[in-house]
Amino acid sequence: MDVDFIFKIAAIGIIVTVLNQVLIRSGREEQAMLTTLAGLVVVLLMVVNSVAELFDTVKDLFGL
Amino acid sequence: MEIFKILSLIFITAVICIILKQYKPEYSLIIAVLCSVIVLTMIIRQILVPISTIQQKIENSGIDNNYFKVALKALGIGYVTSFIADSCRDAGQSALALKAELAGKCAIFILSVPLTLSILETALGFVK
Repeated sequence: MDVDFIFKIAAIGIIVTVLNQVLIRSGREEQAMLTTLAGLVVVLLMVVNSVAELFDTVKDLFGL
Repeated sequence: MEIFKILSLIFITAVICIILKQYKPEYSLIIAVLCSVIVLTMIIRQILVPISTIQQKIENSGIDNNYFKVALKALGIGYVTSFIADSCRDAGQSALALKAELAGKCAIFILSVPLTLSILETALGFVK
């Protein structure tokens, strides 16, 4: 849970964008959409885990 | 408090969000949510020490500390609700943000009901 987490997600975003453009240019629109979806799912899982971790710390600290 | 570290991190993330907004808007939202999660954890680490010292002080002094517990719970609820509401507003869903805030307010209200009842009883005791 530190700063390079953000840059990792940004890197994934940029890679997926480039991959998307390459796939679209080469005529494979379906694969492009699938890669975007896959990248999104991976990133979402990471963020959901960190949000859950934040909620747990808040629960412990504030006694909720 | 490492305020400058937090502020610079927020500024960098804002720049990254703008870069990604034109290609993939969903990633810019995810990065914004992730940055607020990281900043909130940093803030919680800083807040931990003063809150625990206040708790120790209140327990030692023997004052009934459930008032402070309720206040702390309300603070926690407000803390998380504003995080989620602002993220929803960031994503353009202002209706969802208002629903989150409404839920937070109701939760805090429910929390405060026993407190207000006890205050009411003491007030009525004076009147009789």
